[in-house]
Amino acid sequence: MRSQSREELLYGLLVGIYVAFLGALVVRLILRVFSGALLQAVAPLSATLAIALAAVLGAFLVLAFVGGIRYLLTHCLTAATLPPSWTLLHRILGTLALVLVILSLFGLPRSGLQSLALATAYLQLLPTLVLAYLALTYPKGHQPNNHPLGGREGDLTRLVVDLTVWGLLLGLLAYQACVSNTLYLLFRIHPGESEFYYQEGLRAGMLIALWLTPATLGARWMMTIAFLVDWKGDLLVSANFVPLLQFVLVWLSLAPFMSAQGGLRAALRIGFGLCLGRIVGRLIGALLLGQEGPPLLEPMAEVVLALWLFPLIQQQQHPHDFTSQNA
Amino acid sequence: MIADLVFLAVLLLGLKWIKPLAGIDFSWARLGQKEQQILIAVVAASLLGWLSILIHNDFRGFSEPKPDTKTVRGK
Repeated sequence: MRSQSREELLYGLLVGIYVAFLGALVVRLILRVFSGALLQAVAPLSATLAIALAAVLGAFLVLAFVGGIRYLLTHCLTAATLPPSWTLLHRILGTLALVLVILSLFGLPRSGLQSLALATAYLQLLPTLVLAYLALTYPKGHQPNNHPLGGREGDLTRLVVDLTVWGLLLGLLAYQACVSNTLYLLFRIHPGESEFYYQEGLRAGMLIALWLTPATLGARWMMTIAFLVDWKGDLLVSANFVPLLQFVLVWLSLAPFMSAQGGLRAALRIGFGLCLGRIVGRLIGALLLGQEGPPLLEPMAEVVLALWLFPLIQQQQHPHDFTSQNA
Repeated sequence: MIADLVFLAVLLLGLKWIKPLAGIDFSWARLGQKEQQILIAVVAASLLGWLSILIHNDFRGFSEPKPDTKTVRGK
């Protein structure tokens, strides 16, 4: 029963991530259109009032969306206590995939892609349509094993939920602050940079989640270093050398607490997890939004896969918290 | 980007070695038929999306999104 649950758990995690990030795409579109309309309507009376209104109302929409995503993911993945939730998750996925196809049909002609790349992007819509059909016709009443997740599997599932929720919360709030002109009013940051601030907020939220979720206990400083190097490492070294810098710093952070051989093995596994996460993140992100998709899911996949490999060392050789004192 | 592709190839070739190292116990057959079909659709769409990005970037890798700095809303 337990092994069966694992396959469904991994599958459910993937579906849940797509629901969250495809939903965030729609929310960002709504925020952009809503803020634009409100600013156009109210700005002639008072620009500051219009910006304040757009910022507050947009923030409420973001909080409602993130709260809903947290509720949905928690009940579908970590507790599985609501019988219709699994079907509901698929219905939402199917609807969002349809929205993605419609948005792509409008957006692709103006995307400026090269002809062959454009043709491939249109071709991508076919399996996306099939995905929408399959998800919308998902059988009612089907539910995976209804037992609450515990142990390492439960921790890693909660890690994915926390990274998603915190990342989207800060990312969407930063996006809203940008498109509502709040950042322009305060710091002269242009609304055209909203996508950049969305991604920066996303990473900042994930960094916060690293310190709040139980799955990172014993590895918080190490994962923070790895995360920061991945995020801002290209300011220090060439982008091609960022993974190498990550590996060296992870190894150095482990070295004082472990034997040389054990530290190297742990660093190798974590380094492998980070590299694998980078590839997996790019691949699963490529469904989302073309150029924008891969960077969205890269940091999350890196953290999850690195920590997935890490506890093998942690449990077998060093049961104590050896890289942080925050247990 | 080339390094990524090499890594991916090594990963696929070395899956048998990597599975016990990573503690992976995943069986495709244990998933339901509907879940399998959805996963295949997701993978196909993702690979085509990835390929589109690679072609657009002349296989150099992923570029950072470029900000549109044409207009300030409400101004």
